[in-house]
Amino acid sequence: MAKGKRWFKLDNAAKLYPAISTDRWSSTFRVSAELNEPVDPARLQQAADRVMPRFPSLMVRMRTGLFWYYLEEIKSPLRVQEDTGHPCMPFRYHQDHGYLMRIRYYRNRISAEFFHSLTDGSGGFVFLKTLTAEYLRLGGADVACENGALDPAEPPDPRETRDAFLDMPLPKVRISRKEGRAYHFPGTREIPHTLHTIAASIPCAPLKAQAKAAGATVTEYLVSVMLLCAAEDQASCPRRRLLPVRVSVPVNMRAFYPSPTVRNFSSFVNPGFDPRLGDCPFDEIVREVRAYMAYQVNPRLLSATIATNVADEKNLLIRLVPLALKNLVISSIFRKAGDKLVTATLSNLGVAKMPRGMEKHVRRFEFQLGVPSAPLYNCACVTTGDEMRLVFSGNIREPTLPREMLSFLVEQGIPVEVESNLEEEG
Amino acid sequence: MAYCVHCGVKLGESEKKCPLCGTGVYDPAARRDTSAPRPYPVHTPEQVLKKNKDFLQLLAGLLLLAPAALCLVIDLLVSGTVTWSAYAACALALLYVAVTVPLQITRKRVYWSLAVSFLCLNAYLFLAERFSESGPWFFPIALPAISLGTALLAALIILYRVHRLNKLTLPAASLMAVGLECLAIEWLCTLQSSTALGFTWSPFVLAPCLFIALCLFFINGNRAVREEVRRRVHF
Repeated sequence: MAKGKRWFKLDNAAKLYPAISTDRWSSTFRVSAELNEPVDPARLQQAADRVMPRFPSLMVRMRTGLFWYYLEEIKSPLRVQEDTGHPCMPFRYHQDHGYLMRIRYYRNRISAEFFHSLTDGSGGFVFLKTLTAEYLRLGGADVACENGALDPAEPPDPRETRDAFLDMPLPKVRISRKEGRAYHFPGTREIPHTLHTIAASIPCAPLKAQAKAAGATVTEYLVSVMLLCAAEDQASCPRRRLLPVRVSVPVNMRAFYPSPTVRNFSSFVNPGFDPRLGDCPFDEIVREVRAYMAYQVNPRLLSATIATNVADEKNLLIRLVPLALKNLVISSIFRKAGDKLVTATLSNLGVAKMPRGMEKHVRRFEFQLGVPSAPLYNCACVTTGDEMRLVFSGNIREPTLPREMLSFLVEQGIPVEVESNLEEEG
Repeated sequence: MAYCVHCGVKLGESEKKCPLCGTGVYDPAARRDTSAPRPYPVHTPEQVLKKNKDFLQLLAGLLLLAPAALCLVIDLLVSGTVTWSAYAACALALLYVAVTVPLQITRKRVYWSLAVSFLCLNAYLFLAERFSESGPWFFPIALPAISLGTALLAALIILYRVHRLNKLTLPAASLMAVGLECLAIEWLCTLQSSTALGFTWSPFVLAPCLFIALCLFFINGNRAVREEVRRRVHF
């Protein structure tokens, strides 16, 4: 019986994902912590059992209402699983008690995979840090509950499960960001449930030095490199018409509106340029990206964009439309737009601060985006100490974007070390 | 630790070739540990669920079977024999084909879908003729007309695929096909009615179709005219 079970409304950003998810694809991502020692599955299960009740908004299954989806509490415990070769596979609502997240382990690595309706990268990272800290504490380590690692013994803070989009000040004005199709690297699309993963480790010092020399932040620099690679690739293959190159960069709204929420609270900006206007050398691309980011990444503009989505969500007419019809409309819009509007996504979680006592045990963190809805490669990165970990994940056979991007960094004198889940053929 | 001789990236210990460019590991100086653990477990592909077209077909079948069966039962109860309900059942069967065949249409199976539609439409009209006892019109008119229509449609598909008909030539060829089909239908009707062989209405369809088609072919073939038209009617 569902009676007495706690339930949550989906937050503004989360409403999109169930409508566009299928058995073959759903929007997922994963965060991982690589320890200095092999993971003990029994201890990890114990840590998960202690940590999960601290995150009530993650112990949920997707339910269908008449007008909207909602999340309903699950009482059964989440079982940790061994990792798979291709991570971030779609979630099915009837499997694993309906959990929309997974905890996985492989050798020294603890990973947590999430359906995007539950949380975003920052929220997922809070969970991972809390889980890893508890795992280490169960092994006798003295790890503090700070820097994003919550105390599992404390009761959940109601603010952590709030829809922070509704708490932020929203302007009355609506801003539309209509964009056309963007260039995609050509490639052979893989069968569903395939995610090629190429992970690159890059020392921060030379990367920062290059970014500084270009007059940009590390994110702006990487976005510019990505745009340059896309533009050069487009110029190298004869096409009937050129398309703009555009990179989607998620923005953590907690940076502007501090909130302890572990649910979705991010927006995005799409820097790019139009090769139809002529060739653009790298330093100009950097300038354009910088100017774009300086203009777009500010709380007023971002909240105006969010206000547009929230206004739609609050519109009485839209609210009264039955869910099945909403799904039809949303999925048809997503099929036409969605990932087609951007060449790739670059999500930078920034520098991962560890709680005291964790540094000795955790070698690095990793952040990875799931299978894109269109045939392309995405990139996610996080910095631990003096190393940045870039993880490219894609559903096309040819790794053109990672190859061009990492080769460019090597040419700039930045050492890059790669490993992958690509297996030997034949 | 080896470097890719092509990309210059350092390769993870377990990599047997560069994941970026596929170049094999070449490091004559170093002995590589081929048993080094992989960063990810070996991938065991998950069962890929097929798009549930079969379910949709079954659903459509059940939804249409219910009224068809109901019609037959009512007809049998009221008149003791199958009369009007056969029309309803055949119409529903035709509707089933109309609903399910598009689900099966893919680039590879378009001719197969065309053939199924051809057979079903003929079967429906054949039954209609038999039950209404209004014939003979199926073999002398309907069958040749549908055969010609299907052949014209198949020819259009082949032309579209082989000669890459564009936004101007595809409608032009389609219009010509419509004109020809109308001409053929009227010819078949006059043959059947044993009146003097003559065309009354079909030339009025054929003539504008041909005229528009020729205009479209002319515009397509003449670059200057094409540009002029594009300039004036662009939207």
